[in-house]
Amino acid sequence: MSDTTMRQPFGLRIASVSFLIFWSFLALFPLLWIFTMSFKLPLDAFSESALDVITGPITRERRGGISILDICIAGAIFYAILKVPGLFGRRAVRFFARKRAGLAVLGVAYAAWLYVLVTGFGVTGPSVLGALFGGLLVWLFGFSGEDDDEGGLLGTLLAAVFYVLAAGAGLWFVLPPLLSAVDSAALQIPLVDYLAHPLIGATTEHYMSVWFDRGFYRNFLNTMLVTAGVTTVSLTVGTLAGYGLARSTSTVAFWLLILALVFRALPHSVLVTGYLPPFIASRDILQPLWDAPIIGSFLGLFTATPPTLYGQPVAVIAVLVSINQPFTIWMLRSFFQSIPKELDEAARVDGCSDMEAFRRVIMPVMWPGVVTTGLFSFLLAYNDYLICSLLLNSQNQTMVPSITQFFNSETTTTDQVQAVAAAVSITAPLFLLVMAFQKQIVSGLTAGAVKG
Amino acid sequence: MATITLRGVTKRWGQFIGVKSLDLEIADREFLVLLGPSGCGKTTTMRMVAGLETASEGDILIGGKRVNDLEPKDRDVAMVFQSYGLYPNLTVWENIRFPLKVRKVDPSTHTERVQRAVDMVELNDFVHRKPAELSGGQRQRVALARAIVREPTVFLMDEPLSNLDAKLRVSTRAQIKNLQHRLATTTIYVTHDQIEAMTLADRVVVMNAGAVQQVGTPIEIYDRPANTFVAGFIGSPAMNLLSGEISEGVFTGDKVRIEGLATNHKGPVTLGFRAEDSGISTAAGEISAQVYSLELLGDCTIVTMHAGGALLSVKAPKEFRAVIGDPVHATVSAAICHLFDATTGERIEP
Amino acid sequence: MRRQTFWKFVGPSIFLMVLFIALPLASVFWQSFFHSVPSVESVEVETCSPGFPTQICETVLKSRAVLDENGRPVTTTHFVGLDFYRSVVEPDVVWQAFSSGNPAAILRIDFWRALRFTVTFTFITLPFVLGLGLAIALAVNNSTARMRGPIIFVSLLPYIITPVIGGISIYWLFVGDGIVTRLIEAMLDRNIAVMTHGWAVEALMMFYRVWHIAPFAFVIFYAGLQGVNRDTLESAMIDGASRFERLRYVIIPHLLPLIVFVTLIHLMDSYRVFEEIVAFNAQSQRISLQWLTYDFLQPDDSGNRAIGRASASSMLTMIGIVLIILPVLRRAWRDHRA
Repeated sequence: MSDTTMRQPFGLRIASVSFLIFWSFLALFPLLWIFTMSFKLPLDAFSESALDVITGPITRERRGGISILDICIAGAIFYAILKVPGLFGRRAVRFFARKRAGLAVLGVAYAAWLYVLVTGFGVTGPSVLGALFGGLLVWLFGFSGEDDDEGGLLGTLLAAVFYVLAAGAGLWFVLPPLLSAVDSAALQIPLVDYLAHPLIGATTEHYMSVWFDRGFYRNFLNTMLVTAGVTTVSLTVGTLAGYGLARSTSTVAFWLLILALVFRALPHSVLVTGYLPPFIASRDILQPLWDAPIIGSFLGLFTATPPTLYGQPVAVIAVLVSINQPFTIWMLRSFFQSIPKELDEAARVDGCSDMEAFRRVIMPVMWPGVVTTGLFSFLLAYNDYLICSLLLNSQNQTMVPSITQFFNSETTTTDQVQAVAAAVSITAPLFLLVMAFQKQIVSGLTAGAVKG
Repeated sequence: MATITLRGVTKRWGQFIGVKSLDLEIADREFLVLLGPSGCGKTTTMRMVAGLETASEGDILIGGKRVNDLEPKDRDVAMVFQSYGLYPNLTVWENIRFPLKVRKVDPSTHTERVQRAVDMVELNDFVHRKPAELSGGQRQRVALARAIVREPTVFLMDEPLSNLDAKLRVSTRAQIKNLQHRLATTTIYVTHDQIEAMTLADRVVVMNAGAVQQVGTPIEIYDRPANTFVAGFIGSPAMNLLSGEISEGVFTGDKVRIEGLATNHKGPVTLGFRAEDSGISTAAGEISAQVYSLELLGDCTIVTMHAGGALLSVKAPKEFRAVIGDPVHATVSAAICHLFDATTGERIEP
Repeated sequence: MRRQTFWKFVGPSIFLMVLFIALPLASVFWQSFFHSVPSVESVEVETCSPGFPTQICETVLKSRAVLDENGRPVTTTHFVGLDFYRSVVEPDVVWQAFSSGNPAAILRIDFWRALRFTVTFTFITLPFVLGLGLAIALAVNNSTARMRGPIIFVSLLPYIITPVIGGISIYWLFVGDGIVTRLIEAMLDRNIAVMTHGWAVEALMMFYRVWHIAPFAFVIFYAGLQGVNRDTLESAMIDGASRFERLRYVIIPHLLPLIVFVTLIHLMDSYRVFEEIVAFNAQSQRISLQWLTYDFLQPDDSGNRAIGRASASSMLTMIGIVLIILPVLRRAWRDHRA
């Protein structure tokens, strides 16, 4: 509203702009501050003066730091990384959307996933289930990009995953040696050498010790496993239900939605109280199933004895998916309702069954909503503290609950800075997520509100 | 051969009755139009034929075979939707090809059949575009092409012209009429626009409040409306309906007196006549009232006046001039009058 | 959509919700009335150690778990009525506190302490969330288009960030020699320790919650502001309404359904307050209802979890949730019948 009729008095403008600046500062400051702290030696991180925390004189003296030149180069590279998808994104998406390329990549990804599951976590049942669900998902989304220049969901997804992996690997392996090489070269040149001198003290040693010495990478892998599982399963189940509910006007559908609303309000600890005893005793509870004649021999293919669900990522995935279902189906339902009914009716008259109409006609136009809902499923699983901390044992623990391990053992100041580094490590992916998906997050937040 | 038979078809939603015990025979190759105001059950009737709604009672037969329990995909019908229902992610070409693809029609024939459909609706320049890049009329034609591409036994069209502007509507109307004639496929066409119904239909079914009011050719319906509802719905402007008394062939009402009606009926009736059948006279006439307003239409002038408990329109020559409030007389000859029962609204045959 | 197809689509989701939400709820309800303990039997065990001239034999009474034929411990379950509820609510102490004219004494009981904190937390943060969210939305709506993208980006961060991490990052600003504590000390010129004051921790937790949820309210309100009818605004201007009156009589009524929506979501979410307690390490000063259950579920030193008491406190927590969503359910029911 910026035309003449709505013009505001100057004072109001100043007030509103300064309020926005204040709010931005308030929103960012705690996060920026722990980001800064995490790169400093404890003496700097807990220094009396705020300026010292930012510039880190002691860190610079003892561990070196980054120069103006470094900042410029890194900035340029980051800028390039952000711009590349815009330039080449379409072509990459189209490549991955091609049936053969897509399937090949998918096959490799599944092989890798299975390998990790089998060797790294020693569970075969869940990995088979995971592969089944993955297959279902591929079938569900289909390769809609066949003759279509958009490329479809799968192409976009694969291209994005590849890009993130490639960019991450590039930053990790190429950037540090490149920077030090440029710096040492620039130091030889008079006048330019000033730019190459370390300006701000910075060290990554806390990250190194958190991730490798203290095994945070294992928590990271667990988090990836849980979030991937939760997102795929809850989308698969949720899209079906959301579509069914959006297209039904029956009283049953109404009551299901109301029930979902009630479930959405439940405190999670209440549910965990219900899970804990059966999960701990699941071996005994499930034994009859394994003893049963036909089902038992089928189940025996996965594990010889019934599993103890307590501590298993797969149990947490199931729990988080279920807890997330009410929210997922409400959100997807409101997205599905925005798709005209005539579309699936046309498909059904054209010769599709209900399922086919859903898969071939609705899903291809639905994927923005699915991506948005997937983001929120991811966030729920990623941010969860309570359920993971109660239902997972320490060796399968995800990142967020494991941070208290650093937090509670704050015996030395080094431990404290390491806890800060772990916190920043958890936050960084979310930061990237908001950068990449700001529009989807906003649309997801408002999707539920539109219908009130 | 595809005749369509509806036998006692009823649609209920809880207490609400959408369609009341409908009986209808549609001949092979017939162009049948379901006409009525919104909410009269015409679209529901068609959706039951398509299989998108299930009939609460009664039988629906296509080509002599009962289809009540068949899925839409198994009824071999094609449908054109009001807002077209095009697949936004597919190009025009793929949209038209879609029915062939899902019905597993031999892929080697696809190109030829799609091309034929594209030629028929003259969409050659647009086949690589997406629906979002097309105008309303072009989308309309894509929907038509998608319906004709697999040569179904029945076409269903749900107000296909209602989202087009007036000019485009006329030309697309002609195109649909021509297509149906060439393809000779049984067609059910739903509309609330009586001009569309009159111009397109072999037979018109006028519906109101879930029940059939009259079935007949456009001429029959125009010349001999079965009741006051049909009389008031067909024609532009609609038929004038006056209330009054009749005895010994003389109709009298407020400011109205018409003599020489060939009927023995006595008592309160509703009398109807069309504006174009009547005339204006400055001297004397069957109706004497004051001018309420004047509408210049170009080829004629429509004069409206209050008489017989209604606002009447009477056609006057285009050079007729008057000021609102002027006294005026309308001539209505007994021969062009229709009589309806005052309470039931049913036509009274002379 | 035919009924059969409907169930085909909705089935998997319902199965999951029944198995992992409805059944656990029922079992929690059951657990809160029944106590199951491993059966213990007392047996006389004679242990002999080689001695001289004879073996030294001792007979001791030992209790051991009863095992069934498969070698699994046998548990017995018996109905305990409201015992678990009593141990959580402690009605005797409550009665005493009221009869002795010192109602504040009940806050020494964990449950009442948690209830007090949860309720004040929920209702004090609500107006701040709505107010701040609306203020940001109006300010962003007034700003130039170029500013909007970055501000929305920055605003989303507190909302998206892992609650525990967001809480900790604020906690670190205040704890011990945190930078903000330093700043306050420099201004007041004396030593302070923020985290030793219960009220200060409580206020910080509330501050965190407002910081965390206000962006959500902002996004919703901002989306709502885009839909304000311009004709209505302009006719209000022609009618001579001032800027404030336009806000009061046109914009706020337009946003009212959204305000109700945000209120509802906020009530549901902040009633479940939990992560703040973890992040601010506040359990010795302030606890919430959900934290109470969590605490019961944590294994104690001998590895036992107080399932019964956790169930009882869960059921009591549920009552509050039902009270919060009751008006919504009533409205939905009325709308559905209409």
